[in-house]
Amino acid sequence: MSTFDTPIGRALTERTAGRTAPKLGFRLPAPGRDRLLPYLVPLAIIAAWQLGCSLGWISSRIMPSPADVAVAFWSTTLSGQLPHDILVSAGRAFAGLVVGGAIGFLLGIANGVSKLSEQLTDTTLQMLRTIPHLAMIPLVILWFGIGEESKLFLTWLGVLFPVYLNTYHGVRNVDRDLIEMGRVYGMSNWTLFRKVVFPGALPSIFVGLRYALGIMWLTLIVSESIAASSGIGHMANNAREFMMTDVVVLALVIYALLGKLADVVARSLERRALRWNPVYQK
Amino acid sequence: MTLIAHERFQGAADAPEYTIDGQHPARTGAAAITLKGLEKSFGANRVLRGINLHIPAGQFVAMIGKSGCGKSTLLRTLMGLDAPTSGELTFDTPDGGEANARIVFQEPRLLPWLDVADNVAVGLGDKVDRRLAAREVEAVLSEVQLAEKAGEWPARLSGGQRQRVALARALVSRPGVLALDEPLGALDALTRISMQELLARVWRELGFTAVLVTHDVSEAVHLADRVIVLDEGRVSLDLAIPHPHPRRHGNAELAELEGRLLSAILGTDGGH
Repeated sequence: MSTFDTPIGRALTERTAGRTAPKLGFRLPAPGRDRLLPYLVPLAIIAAWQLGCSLGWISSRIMPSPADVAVAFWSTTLSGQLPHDILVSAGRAFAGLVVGGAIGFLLGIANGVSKLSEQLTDTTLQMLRTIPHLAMIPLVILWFGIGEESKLFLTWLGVLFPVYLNTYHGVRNVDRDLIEMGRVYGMSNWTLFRKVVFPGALPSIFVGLRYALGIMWLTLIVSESIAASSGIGHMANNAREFMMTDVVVLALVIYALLGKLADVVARSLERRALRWNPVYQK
Repeated sequence: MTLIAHERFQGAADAPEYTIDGQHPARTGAAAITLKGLEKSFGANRVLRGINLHIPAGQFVAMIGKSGCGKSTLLRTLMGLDAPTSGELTFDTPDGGEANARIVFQEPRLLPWLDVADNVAVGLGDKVDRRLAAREVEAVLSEVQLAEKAGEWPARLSGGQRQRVALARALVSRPGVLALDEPLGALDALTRISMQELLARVWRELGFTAVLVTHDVSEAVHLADRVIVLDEGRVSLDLAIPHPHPRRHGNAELAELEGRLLSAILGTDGGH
């Protein structure tokens, strides 16, 4: 599961760290002591790791040196294998997110707004939610083989529930007083949804999205390691057979970077969409 | 109830053309409100027990009473937020058209994700031309002295400023009836006084029919032409305040009226 910080927690830590973030919109890293400080510990670890490998304390069969990983990155990039695998994996992740996210979002909105829809589907969804979606792997391989469908199916299944739950929760928790105000001021159902219900549910929907991103990568890594002929997971699994630890570690690094990138994009969207919220204002 | 003098508003029932201190005629859009035997029950609890009232167009009426006397329910019923259990409720506009009624709640109820100008524009509905809407919003914001805050998020405003935005949202469509549900209840004393001045001024300028629910006797006496005391779902006192506007705080005659109202409200309690 992904660990994600809450907006309030973030605001607090940023305040205590005395950081001056831009008022709104996208945050771009700017040079400065406060910006660089968080990277000090990772850099020190990498330096110590490199030192340990160079002095022969760590066997390269167990753990490749950072330099070896960098060389693996360079050679696989030149051969075109790495860019191809990254594109394949990112494409799968994105497709799963779009399909699962859309289904979860629509179900969440429908069940939040309509009592009938909620009575019809909520219990079913709550039951399905408790099944770990990775437990479906044997069945999914029987159904779809090891093609693209199996990965897409698992990813969207994993993404659906966090998006559904948080959208539903967000819609249900929109301030009743604001809805009453909207009705008294003559808003149609569509205007009420557009101006009151959806913006009111948006903070919760973003929590669901960021949670879903974590599940998305997890599902993809697992399904690519078990059954795939391309992608980062396949690259790592293939390398294992040839004892190429540098490529295996490279795959881990790529996953970390992609995961971080997805979270940064989601956070920027969140900051932009929720810039009315005092938590996001400085 | 023996303590209470029952005064009727002079010529209330037969004066649709109401004038404020004889010089400000009610605006053409202002609506008269008539209630006949209005009742409202929530289950076995009879909150309103037969209210008969006529509020002439352009009048400023304050409803006052102890908690649970039914004043807020009466206002909600007037605004169509609750349906009456029985009885009749009619709005009469001079031109016979539909009455445009707006409400200001105790809390501002602004949409936090819209800036001040967009929040005010909510009061115009969807059907208005954008450029025209922008002009109307600008005009009403300067009326409540918040023109320079048009692009601000509600979260950045003070409590009094937020309530002024809520007032602007209610006024932007130039309503014939303005209902005010304890709109100043959550404000500090000084802000409340300046908001009272503002309310009195916009009412004099725009000439709508105003129905104010409050628990503050001095506020009622300061603002209204007529104060109605509710007790256990019935009108227990209907008192005209014939003093000219604008009124000054600390006026001796108003203070005397205030004292009478206060004892009328508390008197039924067996004496405090």
